[in-house]
Amino acid sequence: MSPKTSVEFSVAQDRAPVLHARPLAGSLVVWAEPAARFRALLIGTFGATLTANARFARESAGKAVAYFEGDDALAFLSACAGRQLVGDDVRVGDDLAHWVAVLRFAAEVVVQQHMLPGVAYDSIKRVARARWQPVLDETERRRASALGTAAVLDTAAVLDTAAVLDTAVAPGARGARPPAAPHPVVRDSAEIFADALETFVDWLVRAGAPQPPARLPGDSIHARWLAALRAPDGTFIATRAEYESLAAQIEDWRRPVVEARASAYRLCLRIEEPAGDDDASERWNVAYLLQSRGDPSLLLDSAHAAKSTPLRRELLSALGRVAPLSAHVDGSLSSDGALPTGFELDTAGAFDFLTGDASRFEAADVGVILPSWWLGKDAKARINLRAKVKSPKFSAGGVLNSGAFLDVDWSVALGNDPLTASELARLAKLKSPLVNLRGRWVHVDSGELRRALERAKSGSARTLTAGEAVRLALGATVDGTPAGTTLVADGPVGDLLARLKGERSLEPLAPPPSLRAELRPYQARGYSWLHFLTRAGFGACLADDMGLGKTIQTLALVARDWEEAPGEPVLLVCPTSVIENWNREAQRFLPGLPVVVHHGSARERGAQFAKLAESHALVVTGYALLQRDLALFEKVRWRGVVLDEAQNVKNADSKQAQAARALHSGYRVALTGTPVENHVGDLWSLMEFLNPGLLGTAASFRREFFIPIQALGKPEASERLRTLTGPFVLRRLKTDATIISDLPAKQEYKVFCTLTREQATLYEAVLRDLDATLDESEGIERRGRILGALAKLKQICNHPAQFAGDNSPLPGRSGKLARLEEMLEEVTDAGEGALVFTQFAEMGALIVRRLQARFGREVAFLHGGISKQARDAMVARFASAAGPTVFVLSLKAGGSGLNLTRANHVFHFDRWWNPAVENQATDRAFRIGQTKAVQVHKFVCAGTLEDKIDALIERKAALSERVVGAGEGWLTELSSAALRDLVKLSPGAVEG
Amino acid sequence: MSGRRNGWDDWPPRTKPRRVEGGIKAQTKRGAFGTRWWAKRWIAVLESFGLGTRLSRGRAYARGGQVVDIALEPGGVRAAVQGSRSKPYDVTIRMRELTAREWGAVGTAISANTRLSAMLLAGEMPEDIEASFAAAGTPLFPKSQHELKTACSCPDISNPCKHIAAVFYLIGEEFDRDPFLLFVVRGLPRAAVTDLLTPPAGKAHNGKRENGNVAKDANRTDTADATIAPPAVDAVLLQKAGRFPFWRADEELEEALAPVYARATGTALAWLADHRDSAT
Repeated sequence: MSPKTSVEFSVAQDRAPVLHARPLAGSLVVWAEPAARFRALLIGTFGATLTANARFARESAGKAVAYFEGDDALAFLSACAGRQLVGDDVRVGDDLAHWVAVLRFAAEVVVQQHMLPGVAYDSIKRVARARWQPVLDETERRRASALGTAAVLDTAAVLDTAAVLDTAVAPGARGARPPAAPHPVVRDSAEIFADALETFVDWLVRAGAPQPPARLPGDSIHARWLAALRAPDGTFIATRAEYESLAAQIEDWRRPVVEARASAYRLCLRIEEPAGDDDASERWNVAYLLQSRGDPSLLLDSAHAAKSTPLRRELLSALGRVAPLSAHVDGSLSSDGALPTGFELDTAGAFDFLTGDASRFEAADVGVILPSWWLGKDAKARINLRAKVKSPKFSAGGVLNSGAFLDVDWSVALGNDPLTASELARLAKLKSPLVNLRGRWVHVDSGELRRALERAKSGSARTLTAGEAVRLALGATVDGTPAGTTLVADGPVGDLLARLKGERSLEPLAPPPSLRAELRPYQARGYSWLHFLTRAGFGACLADDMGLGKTIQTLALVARDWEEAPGEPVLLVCPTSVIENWNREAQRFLPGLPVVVHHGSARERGAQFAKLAESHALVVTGYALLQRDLALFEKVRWRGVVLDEAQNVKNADSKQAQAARALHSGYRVALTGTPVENHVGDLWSLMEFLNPGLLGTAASFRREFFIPIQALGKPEASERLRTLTGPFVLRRLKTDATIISDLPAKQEYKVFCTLTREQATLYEAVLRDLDATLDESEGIERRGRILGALAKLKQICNHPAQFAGDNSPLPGRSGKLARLEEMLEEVTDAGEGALVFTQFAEMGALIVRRLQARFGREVAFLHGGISKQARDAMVARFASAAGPTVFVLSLKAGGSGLNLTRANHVFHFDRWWNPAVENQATDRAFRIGQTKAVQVHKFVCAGTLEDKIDALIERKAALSERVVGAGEGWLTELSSAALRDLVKLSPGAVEG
Repeated sequence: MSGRRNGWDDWPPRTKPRRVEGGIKAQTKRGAFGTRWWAKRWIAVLESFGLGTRLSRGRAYARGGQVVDIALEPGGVRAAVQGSRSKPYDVTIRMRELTAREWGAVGTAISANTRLSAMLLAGEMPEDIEASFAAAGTPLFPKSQHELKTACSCPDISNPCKHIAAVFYLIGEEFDRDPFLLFVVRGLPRAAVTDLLTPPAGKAHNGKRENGNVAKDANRTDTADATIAPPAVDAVLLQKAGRFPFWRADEELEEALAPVYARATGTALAWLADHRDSAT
């Protein structure tokens, strides 16, 4: 059937090369198993530039190794971070993955600046090296010992290889000096780890360092060392005597730090409120404690420390260090030999301590324990500004828009209780910002209080828009309001807030009458939610799991809009691969709705565009055109703009994102199936499109949310972000209890894809060949030619590289493959499993190659060439939690018999045209043991023979069983005219 | 910096010393050597000897980097100073080492004073240390030229000569950095200093809050959480380490490296944010 009979699989998982790595004396040594064509492997996986920067060596057994250093080594490790596979199919070894984890730890050390300059002798290069060395604190030491004793470091393979490598390294002698000591050949895992950590810290500190001016030979040893510390490469010239004297001096210099780090305790100050409730008592106490570095919750008081000589020494030396920083500490040190317990402060002194001294103490490695009300953790003890929204003057039944102006009463409150006039008067006269109010100590920032009072006094002079009120209520600041400003509202505004926050459910909205489908209950809720937010003037992100019907919810909104206000179209922007899908879905669910696809070379580009757009409810276009035809789109007053697969605008600086933000429209909606909360970095751009300004500037977002959440793992930052964005994002999961009961156990979808230009050109060429031979041949020859041409057309629909069989690059050449990648990204992001069936083993190999390169994770692949034993192992691995999440199967090898219920998505990449065969394949996932709803996605290239045959089968379901069951033979029985009609390419099948 | 000053007398005849690249240069470019009282006190010992112009020459040598090597050891100092001849001159300064018994007496005197022992443990030397030495009957600083034996291999018959003076100034700076080097020169090894300073366990003040208990603070609110945070102040460890012994470069260490710390935090933060562990 296929013109290619012999198939070579580039992907055979049991033979996939594995990459290993090992930091060694300032380099990262990289090797592969099997080692054949190692350099080509590196170029194919990491690119020619990075590979060109590596040094290569070959050890005796024929194993090639590469050495990366500095920025190159970091680039190499970064490329492996979070991936099981690099390139198409190169496996990241467990050891390499461990080094990435160590690098992550090193980065945390560097963030906290826990490093000091040092020096080391590189016995391989025989040169002195200035090095940035970690100086770990107690917490880090514990983490280091866990990382340093990982089993992967202990494996004999690593040690053996290291031993071989240590002796095999080619000496890259520079400024040759005799080695200070012979390099140890076999070291234990702790040493290997310590060396690696030091190397990584050194690289990170140097990352991107500018090349300093060359040093003069006459420069002092210190000048040479100082220059080397700031250079991309740390090596410098030193005589042995110079090196040894420098090393001794560095040790001497570091002594204060090392001694402080070595101590098991640190000084800790705890400020204690005056006893009693009255203002009169102003005796605050600061107690001296020793805090265990290993267990910071362990605190020893001075009396305890006095009983032991080492503890006494710890406390005394810490107090001695701090005395120059604080007159209070200095004053507490007597000359009578007794150990002090602390010092006392008045209220003004306590305030100074809380505001200034505490942070200076912390910078000097002194722990400070502050009252919780000071740290703002006790909301009841906070003075804050309150905005009480008066009911806006508009008639009942109207929709409160985010632009509506609201009158606001401002007042000052302690926690939730407004303060009386006399209390306020007392606050205004305060000498010290600490005050005992209603029996609790509170901190009153005089500047903030003044601003709050001014606002409170100005009364109704200052109004807020409803949008500002919402932001305030969600925790953002508006126009310089102090942090912690609260908003109280009843009436329509309170109602709006309650609904936004999900505290009050939305009234379900009746679906538009023209909708030719039943909305499931959760879809009706989603549609009502979209309607509510867009009507209130807010942008909405519908982020439902794939398969929950974002399309139909959106189409229902569009139809309702059109019925309400015909003449105001909605612009829908989506990836090229799904344009046709939207068109078909609209026709299917809303047959009367005027929809126009703005796509392809025949699209309207002239003055008529605005008129054309305004006569359609929905204009569908692709992201590429959004930017190219922006001038055209700007001429239309859009009712709304909808971005499908909104992760396409995740980069705020991209032309697409800028174009999307530039469009004027009544409302904005984003659709995505990926869990937005997992992609914090992408959220700003998305929200800037939906609700501009909500998350501040890109820079402030990075500072306040992205870095704290991604790099520092601050839960309170995530929580604040969730509060801010939550009202504008709706994400339902298939597994939600309320959803799962609404879902059928199996749903089938057609996924209509477009051809790329390359695919269309090839397709037309095959048609011309076929056309020429159709009338000339007959009988067996005609049948053969038809079947051959059909096979070629199907291959082209799959991918040009399958048709050519030339192992050429894959991205950007096939609409189907692009769509598969997009959909699988959502599936795997949601932690679900998928089966991908194709009838062509060659195509299976291409799919595996592309998916592995894109996702960096193993993709299982079952085809006819796999032994039964290997197949069983593969099936078992797919069933395990740590195994691959995507399984590609050739229809023949995997279409029956297997139990693959880990997957709840089934993709039919190409079609067998026999529902029975397809269903049998689908049943690998849809069978006993399946706990989730199964979604079946059948890929069809719109406007091609695939589309026409699909329609034919749909129309004649009965016929298909009988006639089509035999395969594709029936096609050869068609008349030439019918056949030409079947295979011809319809307009709109090709991307623009 | 250069040029002949008015009022210099030219005896002994001034010979230009050979220029040294990368010698030990005094950190204080003008004014007094050493800022702490004990360093000044050390310099005062030298300046009490009435050396005249040899003092200013010695300062110029110290600032110009003519001292090419220097080592402190129990009982004294050895140094090499580049003069006008091709080979540097050897300089030695020797002081009397205290006996173990004398050190014991000093230790007892120090321990009786909480403030003094706290400051010393922290690497500071309060002025009342001299009283503790006096109480033990052994002054910390040499009182006269007799307690100090100096020698130099230069042809100048005057002792101390300008070479000895240069070394003296540099040592003053070094004492500034680490006062316990004074103890080392007086015969107490660096490692023994902490033991000397630690008073035996005694009693605490009779405060009202004394309970002598180990507290477990459940509502701990300090910064030692599991999460990491960029430091509020850059290059704290660099500041903590302090001055570098006998620094020999024109650039200041802290000034040159503090920006590296600040940049490194930015780089590492960005790396962490972009490579969040997706495996977990």
